[in-house]
Amino acid sequence: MTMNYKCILVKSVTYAQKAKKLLAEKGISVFISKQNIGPEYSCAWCVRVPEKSVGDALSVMEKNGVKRKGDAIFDDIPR
Amino acid sequence: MIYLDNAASSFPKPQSVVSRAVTFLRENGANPGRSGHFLSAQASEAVFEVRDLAASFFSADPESVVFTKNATEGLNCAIAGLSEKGKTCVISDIEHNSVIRPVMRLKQRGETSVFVLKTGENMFSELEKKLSAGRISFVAMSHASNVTGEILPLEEVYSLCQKSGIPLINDASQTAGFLEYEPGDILCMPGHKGLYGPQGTGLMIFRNRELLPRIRPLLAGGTGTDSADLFPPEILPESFEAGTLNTPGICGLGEGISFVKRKAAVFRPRETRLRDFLLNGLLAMPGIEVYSSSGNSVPVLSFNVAGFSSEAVTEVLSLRGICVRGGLHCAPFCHEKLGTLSRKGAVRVSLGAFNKQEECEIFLREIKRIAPKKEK
Repeated sequence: MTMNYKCILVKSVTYAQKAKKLLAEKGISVFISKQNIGPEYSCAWCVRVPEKSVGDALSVMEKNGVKRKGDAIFDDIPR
Repeated sequence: MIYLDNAASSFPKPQSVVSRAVTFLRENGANPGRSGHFLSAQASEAVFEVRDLAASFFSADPESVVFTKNATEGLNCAIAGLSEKGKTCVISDIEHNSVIRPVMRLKQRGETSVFVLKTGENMFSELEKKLSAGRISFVAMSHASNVTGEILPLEEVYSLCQKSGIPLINDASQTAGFLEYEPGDILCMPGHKGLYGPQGTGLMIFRNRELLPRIRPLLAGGTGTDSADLFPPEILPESFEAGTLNTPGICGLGEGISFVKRKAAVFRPRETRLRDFLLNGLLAMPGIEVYSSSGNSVPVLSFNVAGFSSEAVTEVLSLRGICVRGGLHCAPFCHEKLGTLSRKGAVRVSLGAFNKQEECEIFLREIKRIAPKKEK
């Protein structure tokens, strides 16, 4: 069974790295990638989280001041 | 060779610092935070690890840690940002030119007034009076003198500043890595002194992020994010790090901080012991005027030899393989206070993690050879 991922955009590569570290500490496996989703999100950093962990991930990120880029959560970029 | 100029830049560097910087150059070399490929991602991760390490070392959030090229860059940025027209900034009489020159340049442009606080006995009452009189934009102060080594009571200064709601910029150039705690709203420091990183590295740490809207980055340019936006993003730390980072240097700095974390408990007391040894040795010699005292100090001390300029002494020592620094040490106020401006400065000795007792013994022997045999 393939795992579905969601993409949470954050404001910088530093926030992406911070999120990665914090989420790894909580046992949520993530990876980060650079995305260009559209003009309003040009050159953005994406924290890719398993769909089932999105709620937990958002809560951890918010509690630790990880700044998101907008409120939208995107489906993982098809690859 | 005996290196006693660690206050200018620590040397040698720990092997781990050299290896890490070289390994990055040899095995990675990609631009962190720019591209999406794996090598750039690894570089980003390497930079973040050092940011995170520095954050935990200086009790801050990782995103509050800005990589600069030295302490001067951070100080210029913080001073320019917090300065306000029609207000006065407070600096001390032991400051380095990295604080003096940015405030004096602003003064010259009519953008601030400057009050130079006399350190010593009446320092707190003077500062309190100045702060309560109002119209102070900020206080910028070294945590320790780069000439005498004296540590200033910055925690108390910070407490007074906090009571008055005035931000404190801490120039931690001589204390970062030596003292356990660095007080202040913004900390500026080099990476290449007490943190044992490579030259070309420094940190500016925003402890108080409420000050952020007042501080403009010195440079605008690419940050790897929001590329369609024609204006720089206002986000820590990237907005203060436009352009490509000194990633090999930052990697080395991370190892330097780790080295301090692992070993400081061993080498810092030794540095203090060696400073006391040098101080007592110099005080016992005729014809030597010492400007430092024992007690609360970083491992730095200054002196002069009767009948010689400081540069003449350093030149003789250099010919004998000993590296120390003469002159004014970029600290004209401090030399004015010591009465050494007219003597063109002093000889400064500064110790580091790798100095040994035998080196200090050789140093004292060489000074004895230069010094007059009897007090004139």
